[in-house]
Amino acid sequence: MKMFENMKRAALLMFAVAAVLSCNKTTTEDPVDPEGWTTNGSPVGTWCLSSWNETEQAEVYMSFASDGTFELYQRVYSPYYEYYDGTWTQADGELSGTYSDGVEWGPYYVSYRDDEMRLVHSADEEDVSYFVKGDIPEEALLYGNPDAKSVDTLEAGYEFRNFGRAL
Amino acid sequence: MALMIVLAGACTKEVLSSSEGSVELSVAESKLLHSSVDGVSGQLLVYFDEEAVTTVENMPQTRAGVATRSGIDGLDDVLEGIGVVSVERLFPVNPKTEERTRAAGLHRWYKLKFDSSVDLNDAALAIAEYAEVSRVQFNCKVQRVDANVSNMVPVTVNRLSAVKSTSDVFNDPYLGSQWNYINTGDTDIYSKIIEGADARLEEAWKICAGDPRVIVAVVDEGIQYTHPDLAANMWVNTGEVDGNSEDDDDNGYTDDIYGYNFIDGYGGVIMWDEDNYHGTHVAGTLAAVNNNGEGVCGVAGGTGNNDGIRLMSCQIFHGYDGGEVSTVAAAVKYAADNGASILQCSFGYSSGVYTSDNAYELANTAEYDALMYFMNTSNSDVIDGGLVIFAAGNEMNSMSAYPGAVEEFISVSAISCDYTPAYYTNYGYGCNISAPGGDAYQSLYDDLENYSAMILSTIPYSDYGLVQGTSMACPHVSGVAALGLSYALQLGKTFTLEEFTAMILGSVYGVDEFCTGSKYYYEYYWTPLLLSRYAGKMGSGGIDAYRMLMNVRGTTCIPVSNSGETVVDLKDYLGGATFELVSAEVSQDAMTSLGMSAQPTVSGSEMTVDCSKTGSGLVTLTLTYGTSSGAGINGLTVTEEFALVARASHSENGGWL
Repeated sequence: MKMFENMKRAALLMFAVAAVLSCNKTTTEDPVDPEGWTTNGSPVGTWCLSSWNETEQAEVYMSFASDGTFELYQRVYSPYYEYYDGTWTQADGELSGTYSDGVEWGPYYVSYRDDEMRLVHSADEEDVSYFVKGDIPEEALLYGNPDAKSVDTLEAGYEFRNFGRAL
Repeated sequence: MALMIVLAGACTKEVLSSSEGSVELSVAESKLLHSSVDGVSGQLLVYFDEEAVTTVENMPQTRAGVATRSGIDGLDDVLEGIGVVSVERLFPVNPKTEERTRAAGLHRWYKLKFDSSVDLNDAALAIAEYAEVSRVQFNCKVQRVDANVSNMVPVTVNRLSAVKSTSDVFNDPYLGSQWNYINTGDTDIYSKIIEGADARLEEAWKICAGDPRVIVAVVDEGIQYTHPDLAANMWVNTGEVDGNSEDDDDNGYTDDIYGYNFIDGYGGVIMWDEDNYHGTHVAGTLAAVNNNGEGVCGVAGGTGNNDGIRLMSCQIFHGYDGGEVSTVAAAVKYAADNGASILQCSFGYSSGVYTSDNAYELANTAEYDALMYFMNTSNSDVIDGGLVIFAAGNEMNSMSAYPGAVEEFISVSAISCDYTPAYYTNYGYGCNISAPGGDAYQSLYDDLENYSAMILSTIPYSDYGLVQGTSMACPHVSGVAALGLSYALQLGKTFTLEEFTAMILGSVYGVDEFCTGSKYYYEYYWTPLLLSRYAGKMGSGGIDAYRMLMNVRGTTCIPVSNSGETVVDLKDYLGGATFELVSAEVSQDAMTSLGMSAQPTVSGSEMTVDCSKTGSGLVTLTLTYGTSSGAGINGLTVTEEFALVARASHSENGGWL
């Protein structure tokens, strides 16, 4: 029985260490929130926009990597998928970063609940985005990233000739 | 044989108003539709009134299975006098669709056949004298859209060698020659070709290349349904047993396996030959089987996994035969009653024959009624009606041919491999959108043996050929529409006919910027064609399949300020399309969400919105694609939704974060 409890303690300790390690650049604060949101979490992973205010039209997919980089695929202000990438940091409950073109974004107040992430823009508390963990759809991956659009270079082909009636 | 036409009663008169003034017509004359000049001898189409048609329906049939009398007192004497041999419903009874047929009044149309030596006008007037007869229509002919283009060049590509495709999408060997799908800027086709002047299919095909639940009726010459590059994508009527000379599925037509030949005297047998390539070529552009290692690709031909759309052959032409109103009308109704969601129509009356919707409808009511019946029939879970898509015509005229010019139908003009208007294309009034149709004179200007600036597709005898025309542009739009329906089916989305039409017309790239300078065509000598005449007159722009799929996927958002006015140039959100912005409207709920105190205002292509809150809401734009003559030919007006997104924190690079 005692051995079991020791194993349990060891497991909890490992879990705690793992949790701290996985929460790279996150805070450990855990303010009470009646809806269960906590700042204690990490953006690392792939997220899909589930809602922004009342709009159902925006498609946004973000993938945050533990090395501090992110990729963003969106179909919002264009019928086409668009691709962005850059870097991110999370500190004191705020998530912010810089696109690779140098444009800064955020900061957002960030909080987590189960597989959800909530971003509230620090300059506008009405600007609230909810994300859920998920996958980036194939369509977005195909065309969002310009690298995916490359085509094979023209290979020397056969000459195309045809018959036709003179005009 | 001397025939006596019994004329009934004295002629009453009524005044018919027209643009030329008031014309006094007898009541009988006012019932006549179209002119007898090009009417088929010995045939008239008669529309009985609601009560009289019951009498006509109950007339006994001869041993040949047709009635020869109407059962209407007096009228039967006329019918006897003109030597009537049959009084048949124009649209055969199909028990499964009879209810909606009757609701549309199509059961009241009858086709009369009689002695061909009888003067058509006399016969029509004599029949129209009876109160039980509402209208009498001469059975006139439409034509393939290429029929009046002297420079149309059908090409049998019997020495075709494959140009290696630069795309890895499909393995069809001739895809590299189909610049109309993937234009890589190959100057062997034309020295001034421009990469990207195509239907933007490379990107689209990776997402969706068709769905066999989508049926497109090709109303044209017969399709060579045995063509190895078409056979797998042919619609098959599984309710019919081939060759048993019976109407197994009771739809009114015998042995209609891949469709039907509606031309009188052909017994329904679909036919093709080397001179009748038009339907097979159009079918190949729509849905030649993709990725089968053979021949060419089709816009909605699938991925080689039996997943292309399905082609229904509704034959209305063969050689000089066919094309009558009765033939067209029957084919259109058949398409509606047997599952088609899109009507692909590369035919029409010569541009200028009709110059208003009203004139066309009055002259061709039976045909128009059938087309509207198609539009009002839903054969797909995706859309609540049928799409009617016509070629604009090849007469270089500044107006679309009819029926394509009818406001509710989509009329397609043609562009070339450098985005410029094809030399032959009609443009302007009533033309709604453009698509690659090819322009032989571009490649011929480089090399008099090079026709590759035309459109390569399937032709009879399992071959491939190059043809040009708005006839060829039209199936690009029909095919993209079919791709859109396919993708919507796969996503489980539904649309109204108007919403879907708006998406088609809004899924374009701009072509106006290429309407400058000149190009050459050959008419006795190389003749310059000034392109400025086409600016703003090529419909909304060039069809873009990828944009269509993305529009099916979801509504595009427009970023606006949450604290003041934002002026939005809607061209930026419509791919540079050409349109007239009629109005912009936001619902009361959306106005509340966005903190708006007034509706948006519009000017030119711009919309001004004034929001005071962070939020979102839909704005409904009313747009007209295609220009209006002001005298009866109109652009197609649709509504289209965008989502306004009012934020303080719009990133300057457009990123969401």
